[in-house]
Amino acid sequence: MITAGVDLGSTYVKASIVQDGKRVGFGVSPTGHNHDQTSRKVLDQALEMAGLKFEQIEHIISTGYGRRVTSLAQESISEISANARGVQWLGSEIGVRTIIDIGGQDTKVIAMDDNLQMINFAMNDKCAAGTGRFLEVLAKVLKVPLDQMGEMSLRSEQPVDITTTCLVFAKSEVANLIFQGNSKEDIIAGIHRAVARRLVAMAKKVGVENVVFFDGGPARNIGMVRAMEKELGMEMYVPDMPQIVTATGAAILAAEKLEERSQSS
Amino acid sequence: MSNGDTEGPPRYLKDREEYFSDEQRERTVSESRKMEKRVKDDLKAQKDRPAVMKYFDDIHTYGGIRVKELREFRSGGGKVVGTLCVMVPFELINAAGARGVGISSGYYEPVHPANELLGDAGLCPMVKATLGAKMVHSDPIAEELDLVVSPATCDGKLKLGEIYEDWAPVLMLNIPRVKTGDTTSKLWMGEITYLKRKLEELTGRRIKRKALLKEIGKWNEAQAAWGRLLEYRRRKTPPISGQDMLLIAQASQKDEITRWTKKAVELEKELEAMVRKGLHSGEVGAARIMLAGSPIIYPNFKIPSLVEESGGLIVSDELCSGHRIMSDPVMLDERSMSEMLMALAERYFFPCTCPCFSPNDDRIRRMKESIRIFGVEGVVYHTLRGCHLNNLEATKIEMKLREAEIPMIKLESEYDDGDVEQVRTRIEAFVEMIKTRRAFSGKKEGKRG
Repeated sequence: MITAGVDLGSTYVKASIVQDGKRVGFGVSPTGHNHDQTSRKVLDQALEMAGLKFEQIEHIISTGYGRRVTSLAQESISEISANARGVQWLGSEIGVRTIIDIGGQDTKVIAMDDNLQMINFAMNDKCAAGTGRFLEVLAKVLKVPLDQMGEMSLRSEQPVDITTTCLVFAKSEVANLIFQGNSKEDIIAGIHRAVARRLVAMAKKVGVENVVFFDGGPARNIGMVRAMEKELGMEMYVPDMPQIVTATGAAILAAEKLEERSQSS
Repeated sequence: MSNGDTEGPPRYLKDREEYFSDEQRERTVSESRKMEKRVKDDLKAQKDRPAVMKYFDDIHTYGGIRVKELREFRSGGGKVVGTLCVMVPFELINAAGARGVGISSGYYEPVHPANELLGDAGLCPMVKATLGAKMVHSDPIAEELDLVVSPATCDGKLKLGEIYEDWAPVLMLNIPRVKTGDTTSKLWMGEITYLKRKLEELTGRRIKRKALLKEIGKWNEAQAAWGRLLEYRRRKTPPISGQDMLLIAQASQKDEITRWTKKAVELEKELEAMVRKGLHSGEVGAARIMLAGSPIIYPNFKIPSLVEESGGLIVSDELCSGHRIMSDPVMLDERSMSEMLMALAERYFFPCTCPCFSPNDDRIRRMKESIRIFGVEGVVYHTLRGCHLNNLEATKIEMKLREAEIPMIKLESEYDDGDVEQVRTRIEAFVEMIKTRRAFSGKKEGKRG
């Protein structure tokens, strides 16, 4: 059985293809203005990797904030459920109890019970604080490529204090910190710490229990991972491809839906 | 009064009546009309909706039948009393020969004029919209008021009443917010007696024992009809949506209560017929949701409509704009005037679980009871931005519900549509979580059996 999940995030579109319980291909591309075009493009990347044709996909589920605006998928599901399903699938052996998923515009914390069933979740309010967008915009202010932020922050000796997590104010605060002569390394480390504090506070409300699974694009940022671990006081589990967990979860759900239907008919 | 103004208390906005342009007034009117139509069209599009709902729709129509009736009533010398809180006894208003009408606003556009004049001020959008509508005269019903009764519950409501005085006579009621024993009862009883006297002054008619008894009877009858409607929400597949039940409850504060009761009874019959035909609201297996938190006033149905569009069905609520309007009958032991006033005072005060009270432990107790009775699987706790007291109590309630293994999601919203998609994601996930849990616990039980 071949199914696909397409995760239309606010900054990136991700696709994942699952064949008989195995992930065989994935694709990632920045979110454009045409959701149909972008999601097809990303799916084609995944198909190429898997060596499959579009016609071979039996069922597609879309997720993410653009889930309702793509005509590619037969049904849609919220990114929270898709993410939880992805983690259940990837993390059944590591016993995940808490998921922290940083997205482009939403950050989610999900609590799971012993059976990996979602029991509670929280999402940030409609504001960019503590999201991927926050890191992305501040990287631009600092003129540092996003994928170098992690390594650079690890070289920091004295992280600065970022007092606000409001993106609008943080931009001018960071500009001011540059002006005062702070090193980029220290500023980036300060940014990571500010985001980590906010997210850990949110996670605590939901309930943090070992093992903590960290995913979403910013989980690829090693500085962000270390800052989170420091605030949490525990290590986290970061998967190989943290940005496609949700898309994979949607693909798994698509397979389950097909099975359900074949059983009931 | 200290400024030497002999015409009344100092006015916030006295000289600013011309502050808003005709264009802004017209915009607020046309946007309000459009919003009400859009929300109503969505309600009408609900599947298998009872035909009697047309009456409740009409009562809420912007500039509709109710405005005309109240206008006629006033032109015949009748007095209309606007109420700003569920703690005002309509029985007293009616017994004085006046008509009561709830005027708290659920319209989005009037928030803007209030913001312009007062600044953000951390006020909740309901307070702002109610004020704004009066500032630009965009609510036809609020233009037909001879008196406004405003219980001073939270900070926003306290100042709302005060500022409203610029346009209409306002009677503020002192709410004893520390809710304990005898001293509280005495204080509140004093306020109710004061309200009675003021209403009598307004209409020039003494409230007679018989008239009050009759009004209490009418409202208790309405409550009994409401109670019978609730029975249908306990069913596995309720024949009525939560949005419609909110609309019905709120109509009781707009219309004549006897006409309301007549329609509620008609609805009951229609629901019974629907049940026999196997018709129901929402999808089979919808997640059974309780709506809690800040008031949700028509046409601000953003949150309930998202719940019911996302595979949930609201089977219960604990809102002062919903079930609480109709939830507790007046209990009469004796029929002397003072006994009746006491019974009224008690009914409108003690069962009220507004977070402006402390202690307010009765709220979670009542919520748990409803959760049991209506088979609630999850609570959507909504707070309006600036509704500090509801915001604050959410944490305590969430913890208590977690102990009882009832999931709760807290959502904060404003009076605008900007956050619809973000809220939708949260609600969809919440509903999906409830359904997954249900399927999973079913499987577990199946294995055990």
